[in-house]
This record gives sequence, C-alpha cells and structure tokens, in this order.
Amino acid sequence: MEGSLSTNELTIGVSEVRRISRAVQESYGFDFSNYALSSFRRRLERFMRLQKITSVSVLIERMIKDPVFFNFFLKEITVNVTEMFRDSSFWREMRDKLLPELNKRYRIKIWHAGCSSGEEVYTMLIMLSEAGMLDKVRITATDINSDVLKVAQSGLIDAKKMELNQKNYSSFLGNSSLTHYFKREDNTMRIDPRLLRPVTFQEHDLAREGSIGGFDLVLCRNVMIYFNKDLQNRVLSTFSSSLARGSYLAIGTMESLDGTLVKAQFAKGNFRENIYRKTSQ
Amino acid sequence: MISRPTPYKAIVIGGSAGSFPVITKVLSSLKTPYRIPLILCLHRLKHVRSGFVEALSIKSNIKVVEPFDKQTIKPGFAYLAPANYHLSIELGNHFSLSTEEMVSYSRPSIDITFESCGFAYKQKLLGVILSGANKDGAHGIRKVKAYGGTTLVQDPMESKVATMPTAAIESHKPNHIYSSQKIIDFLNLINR
Repeated sequence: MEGSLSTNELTIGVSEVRRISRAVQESYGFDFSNYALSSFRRRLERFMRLQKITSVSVLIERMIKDPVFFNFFLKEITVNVTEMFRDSSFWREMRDKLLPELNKRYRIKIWHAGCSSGEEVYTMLIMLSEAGMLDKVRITATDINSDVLKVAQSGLIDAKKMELNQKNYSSFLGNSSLTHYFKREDNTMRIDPRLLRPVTFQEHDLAREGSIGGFDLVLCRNVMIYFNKDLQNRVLSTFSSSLARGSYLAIGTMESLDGTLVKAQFAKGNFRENIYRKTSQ
Repeated sequence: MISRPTPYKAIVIGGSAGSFPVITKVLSSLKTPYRIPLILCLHRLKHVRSGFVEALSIKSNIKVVEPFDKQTIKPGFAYLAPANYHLSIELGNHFSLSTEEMVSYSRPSIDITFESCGFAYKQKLLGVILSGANKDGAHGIRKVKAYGGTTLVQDPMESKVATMPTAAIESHKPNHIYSSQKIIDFLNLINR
C-alpha cells in the first residue's frame, strides 16, 4: 500500500516519488528520476511537512501552477548544508600535495560542481590565496539552483556559521585567521571581494547537462551522494571527459570510485584523501 | 507456544551516551558466522573522523566498517554511520550517505537511519534502541514498528543514561524491553 502507515504521519511511497519526478520533468524539465530514493523521498516528506501539504496531488498541482512556488521547492529539495574547510585533513592534503603539482602549470582551471552556497569555493580561494596562486587560477562554480548561486556569488555567510568554519580552519592549520578574509555586515560576514575575482558562477544541472569544458581539477564533494548509481556513473563520465590525462578529480571523504564505470580511468597515487588523478582516457 | 524466529534481513541499533560498553559487549558476544548485517547509528563527536571503528573493532567478533556512499550491505559486517553524515538504506540493498540538516542536534541521526531501514526492510527488520542522552531515535523506532518491523529497547532501569530508551518506549509499544544480556541472547537466537 502506497502513501499510508498506521500512524497518521505523512509517508510517501516509491510510486508517489515517481509521480512527483514525472510532473516536475514535464513542467520544468528538471530530472529527479535518478536521485537517491532514500534522501529524495525524505526531502519531499520534509518539504510537504513544512509546507503543511497533506497529499502528493496537492503538491503537484501547486508546483505546476506556480513557478515561484516551484523555485522554492527546488531550493528546499536540494541539500544546501555545507561548511568551509569541512574535513580539514582533505584540505590539508589538497594544500600540501595537490597544489604543488598544479602550481607547475601555467594556468589552472577548476570546476566546483554543485557548489551550493559557496563555502567550498571560498575554502579553495582562501587556500589558493595563502599559497600565492590566486592569480593563475580560473574557477567555474556551478549549481542546479539559481537562488543558491546568488548566495554564493554574494560572498555572504551567516555570522552564526562562522564559529564552525573558524574551527575547521584552525584544524586546517591555515597561516592566518579566517576573520582576516571577512568583513562583518550586521549578522553576516562578507568575504573579501578581491578573492572572488577568479570565479564565474553559472547554472548547471549535473543530471541533464554534460561537460562545460576542460579543467585541471574538478571538485565535487558530497553532491553525488544524492544521486543513484546510474546517475553517479553518468556524472563521473562527464567529469572524466572534462579532464585531460594528468588532471585531477576530488570527491567527498565517504565517496568512492570503486564499483563505478570510470574507476579504471583514475588512480589515487599517493593521495590518502579522495583525490584522484586521471590516468587514461 | 513455539514460533520460528523471523528471518531478519538487517538489525539496526541506535544509541548515544552510555551505549558504547553495551555495543562492545554485543559485538564481542555474537556467535559467528553472524548472518544478519548490523547497522549502527551511534552519536559521536562530530568532527572526530577516526578512532571509533578501531575502538569498536578491538573486541568485536565481526568486522566493523564505516560504509562509503552506495556501498553494498553484506552479512558478517557491522556498519557504523560515519561522523557528520546521515546513513540511509536504499532499496537495492546498499547504503546512501547524506549531509542534510541535523536532526535532534545529531548527524548521524538515529531517526533517519531507522526510518530508512524501516522503509526498506519492512517486517524483515529488527530495531534496537540502547542507552542514550537525547530523544533521537524515538520517532525512528516508532516508524520501524509501523512498517512492520520488530522493536527492542534496552531496559531504562539498566541503561546508563535512560533518556533515549525512555523516549523510545513512550513513542510506541516495543515488542521487547530487555537487559543488555537478554539483548545479546536474542541477537544470537535469531541468527539461525
């Protein structure tokens, strides 16, 4: 039986998740059909609970009728929880092992795929700035959601989040203080706009669109975890086709290329963290 | 009445403060080969990534691992929810991780792991709530029962910190309320 439980709480079943994906695709083109069921179903339930929508039919009707409502849905359904310098050991390894390799190149092109509100982009910029490499870098930061991209582009971070960011930065062992890169504006902190100069923000949907060019490093951490295995394979092949041999792919700490179709194209070398080098086409 | 033990596909265990000695005892008392995968969601220090698996492994009779995203679930393993991620189960018998918002100040959240296990395994799931200091898990174990699974709560009288088991008992009527020794006996009984 779909859509009900003996308790009076909202639970949506597999067929209802499919109904929603289909309606979204027909009306707006976005393709959620290959999102990981567990988290996508949970996001849908959460959204309906918060919006006090009690049936899938009502949700679908509202989305179809109201593009503003749909845009809000899109923002809430995707996960935008992120931290600066999350997994400090990963960023230490990026700094100590990967940057010296990249620094041998004349120009460095980086793609942050699924950049959300920008925290990892800022992390990268601060790290590059501390390494004196900011001038030779071009960064493309993409996300499915235009509202979230605007937040990333603004360079603003909720001041409440800075304590955790600062803590992460401390274990990253940066050579300054995180506050050095930010200016307080009421309840938010604004990153030094000079840092954002090498970055272009653009809308890009990993589920529907392919490569956006060639890069020296593609960074996509804790984004593909929201996709099923099929979509992960497709996205990984997009990344692979954006990387020349000898370029790099960085994925989340608890993600793995094991069991994926691109595994043979990448090697970890002597990286302990999830940084892979492209070894063959 | 003698009834045949239900063939469980998985056992999901949640706990926080005070549950570490119980989990250690459970893992060191399981008779091998233990055929049912264990899924452990234990509250832990958010930004301490390593050490917990090692600590749990010392006396464990089965292998303790932190699963990667989309890793296949196999018998003979205890899977520990990694620090700072929620752990869910997909219908294809593999894990998914997520960095969603904390639930009851917790990531991993017991509610999330239990709900997704309940949804995936229905009546083939055993859910166990141990000693703990917050109410995370109370909602999840109720869902496990509602999906048809069996629920077991550590006796609050025996629990080092009773908030979590008490909340679990208040949220639903568990199938069993057992001491840690009886929990171990039960886990060995169903492994046949």
